Amino acid sequence: MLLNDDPPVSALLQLYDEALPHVYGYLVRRCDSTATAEDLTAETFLAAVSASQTGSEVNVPWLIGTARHKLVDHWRRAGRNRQLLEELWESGDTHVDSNEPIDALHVRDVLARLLPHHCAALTLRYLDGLPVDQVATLLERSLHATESLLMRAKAAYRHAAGEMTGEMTGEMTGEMTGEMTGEMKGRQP
Amino acid sequence: MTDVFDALRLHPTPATPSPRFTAALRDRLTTALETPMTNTNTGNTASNTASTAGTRALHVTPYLTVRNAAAAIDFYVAALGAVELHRLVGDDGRIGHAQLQFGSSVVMLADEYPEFDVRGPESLGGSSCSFHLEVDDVDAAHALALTHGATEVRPVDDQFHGSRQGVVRDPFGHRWVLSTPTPGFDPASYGTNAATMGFELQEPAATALSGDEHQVKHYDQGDLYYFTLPTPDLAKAQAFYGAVLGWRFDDAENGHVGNISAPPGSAHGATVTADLYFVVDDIHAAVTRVRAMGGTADEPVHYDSGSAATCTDDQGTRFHLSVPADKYRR
Repeated sequence: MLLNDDPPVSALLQLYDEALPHVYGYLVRRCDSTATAEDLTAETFLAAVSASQTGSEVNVPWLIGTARHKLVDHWRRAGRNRQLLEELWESGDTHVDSNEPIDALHVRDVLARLLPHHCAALTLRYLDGLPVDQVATLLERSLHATESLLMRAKAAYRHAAGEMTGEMTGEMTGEMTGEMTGEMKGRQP
Repeated sequence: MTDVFDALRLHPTPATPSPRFTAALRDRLTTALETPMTNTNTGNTASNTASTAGTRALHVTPYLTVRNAAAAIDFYVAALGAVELHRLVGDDGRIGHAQLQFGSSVVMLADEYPEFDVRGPESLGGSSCSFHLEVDDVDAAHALALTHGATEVRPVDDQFHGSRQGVVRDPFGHRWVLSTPTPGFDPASYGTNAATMGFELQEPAATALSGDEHQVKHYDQGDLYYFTLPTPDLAKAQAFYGAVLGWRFDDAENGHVGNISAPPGSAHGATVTADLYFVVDDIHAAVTRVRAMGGTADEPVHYDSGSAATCTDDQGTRFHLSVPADKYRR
């Protein structure tokens, strides 16, 4: 089974060396932890092995697209256990989006506080800049359901960002605030 | 209408993961590329084999196919003392590739993939090869294997060829010969014992072990071929290394160590430093390269064991080039 001299094998490992920073860079800024980013990076490249063996052309855009799918799967797994919470959370939801500027500085930390499907919707729509219909396709929801999901997700984001700012500035002791800010700085990509 | 959330847009920014993760994933991908699950282009296997033969040492690793690889791994770990190195579990639940360590050997295995014509003994109705497993205590190993569900093929007994062995068939259909060397067995009686069983011992002339047990090996350029240790008193050195490392010396004159495999070497009175001999394909070409790189090289000398040239590198460190004699290589 030694195929190390086989051109497709060398090509794939060569692609790995070149593309790893792009794939990992994409994932690490959209995941709540480095460990998750590493897991999804590994899943993406293992999928690339299978694809390359069946003759598909694997390149950086293919890898980023696959990484995006792995990310959606990840949120789906995370969300499955929180189905009930989601229903409770959204039953009384009446948020309306405003045009107030939002906190984009701590985006990864704010997203980490959201429910997985809110995180998914915002990441695909805004961080990745995909049109709503593509977000709907990726999340396997209807266009209408995706639009309302985005509305709720944006409200949740504002809520979480506001909560976080409150925690960081007022409610904690100086020492703890320092710790937390430091920790967050460390987590910025 | 502008959307204030557009401020969240991330532009592609590469990021480098930890070197440890990078290397580990590269290994996983290399392994994944070798699995039966992903290896569908087997048409050019012969040319691959031919092209690798000259560039890497020959090495055979058994690759087992089993129905229910997960259960088989459990069995090999519990019953035969294997250590699981890793497994690749497919999204269909099958194990596409796993590696187990048995002592110094690695065994690979995978679930059945009938779609790639990869089938185990249970599907094929038998297995054509056996696995010979060297163990410390064959009686205990045999009993343990049976406890874990192996079927006895042959009970443990002393064999004419110098091993005490038992044979079992594992629950997945593979045949294992468990073996421990018989203490005190005289290797010289191998041929005569075989004759009493009706077999004549025949060895190809090129690879037959001579009386001094020279090792015949495959060498690649860059391999260490030979070493010498500086030992002013050869007799003392032979006593010391014989006791410490079990070295046996062929020849009291030159101190050649006859019973170690890789690389052979000697304790020697003539030098004051340890000497290392590295394999090259063409000694004259190698001497030219040494000189071109600013080192020095003596003219090659021909010995019974091959050609050698004493060199110093461009910083003054001494080393040797050698081309092993044909009788020591294959």
